[in-house]
Amino acid sequence: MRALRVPLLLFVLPVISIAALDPLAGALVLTRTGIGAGEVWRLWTGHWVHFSGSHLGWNLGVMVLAGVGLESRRPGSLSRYTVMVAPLISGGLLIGQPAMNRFGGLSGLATGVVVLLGLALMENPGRDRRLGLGLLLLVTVKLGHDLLEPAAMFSRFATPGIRPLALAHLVGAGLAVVFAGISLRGKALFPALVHDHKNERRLTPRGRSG
Amino acid sequence: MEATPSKSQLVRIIAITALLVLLVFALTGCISPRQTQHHRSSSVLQFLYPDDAQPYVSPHIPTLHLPLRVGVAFAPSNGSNIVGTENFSEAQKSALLRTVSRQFESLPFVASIQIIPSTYLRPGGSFENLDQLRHMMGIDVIALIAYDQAQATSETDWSFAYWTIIGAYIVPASKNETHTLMEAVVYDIESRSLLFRAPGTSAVKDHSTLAAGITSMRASSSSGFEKAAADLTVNLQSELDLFKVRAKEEPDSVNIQHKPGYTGAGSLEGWFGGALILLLLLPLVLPSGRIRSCFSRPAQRSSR
Repeated sequence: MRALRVPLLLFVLPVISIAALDPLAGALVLTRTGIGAGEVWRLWTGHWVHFSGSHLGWNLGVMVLAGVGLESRRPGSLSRYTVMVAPLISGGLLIGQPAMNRFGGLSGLATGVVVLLGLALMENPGRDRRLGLGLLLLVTVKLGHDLLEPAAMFSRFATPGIRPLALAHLVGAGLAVVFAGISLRGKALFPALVHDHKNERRLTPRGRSG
Repeated sequence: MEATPSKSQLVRIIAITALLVLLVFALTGCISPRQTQHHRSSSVLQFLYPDDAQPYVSPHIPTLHLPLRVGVAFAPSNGSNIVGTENFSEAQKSALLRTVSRQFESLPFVASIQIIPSTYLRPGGSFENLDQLRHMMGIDVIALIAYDQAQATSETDWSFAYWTIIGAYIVPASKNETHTLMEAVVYDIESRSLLFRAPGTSAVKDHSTLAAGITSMRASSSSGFEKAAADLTVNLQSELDLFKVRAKEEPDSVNIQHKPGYTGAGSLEGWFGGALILLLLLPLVLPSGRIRSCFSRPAQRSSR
């Protein structure tokens, strides 16, 4: 249940609240003009704003599933990843999509969380590793689909002219790999993972002596 | 003794014979088997390429800047209509334009629809006329609707009853046929490229008496337009769906871009969510011990 609490408080409740309160969404969505005016919170909060029911549903569903899995394995890493990576995805979009004015959606973060879960599962041998590999393959297929398939041009949103951005997923996945890599090198960004490795090292000599 | 007709009597006989012949011709002219035809049309081709101009084939791929602003209008009629036989009423035209507008409105990449008054399109106005509309009404794409209706009446074998005069009022010996073709042609105005077209057809056949012929033809004409418009609506929806598929599968046929200042969305599709659910939740429903779910902690941690 503890693993469910973080995704619930961090994503489910805020996303639904923002969807229910339209003026709140306007104040939180990532806009180029807003950032230019110094409203830096939009770099974080834009990810919590959604433009249609299905947009919200699938993004939140994936985030909750992957988030619960990650929190079960690496407690605390979901919130750390979210706080650190959310503004970087937003910044990447503002730089990489110069014609874009507004952005909303949790999918960039969610893609990164799926990657983190895949990498965390790959740490263990056997079926976990295969499941982790499956998740990473799924994300790779998704990124390939985003880049090669222009079908997303016609995705349905409540407002016409909203363009799904594959770059958000690419940046989210890439930053997740960087986040996990830095953590594994002992930078304390992924302390649970580092902690496990230390325990493993401590346990091994005792196991042998015992 | 044989009486020979006088000169005045001969003239009278010739005059009566001529009168009888004239009367017979006049009567048979009224009720002899006949075939009449009516034709009314408006043509996209004549509007866009008047004076036998060669159709312009765009050498480059049309670029659609999403979201699109679409105009819907009737192509001007070509002037060959018979006066007084225009049965495609303005109300019917408006209803059809509204239906077509609703179909375009349902598309996620269409920002706005404008119904363009028929007075804004000049006969033979060509693309110059469309360019004017583009700048005046701010549209990118136009759906031009044209129609072509032909009506023919012929007499059946029972038309001999018309000789009795009263038969012309009670015997339905006139066979009426009405064939209607409607077409919606969608053009990208800037590139002058035909994006797609959708046809709608109908055929109405009935019989009428000689006296009710004109009324019946009018009703058939109206009914023909209604049925063709309904068929056009169905086909237009199919063509719109096909166009979306074509734009996805044949990127060489149309270039899709977004206008500056667009809204971006991070969106995960259903297939990705479904696959993730399968991957993550399948282990939970399998018998315990066979596979460990990703939601459980690793064995080494739980054993500690």
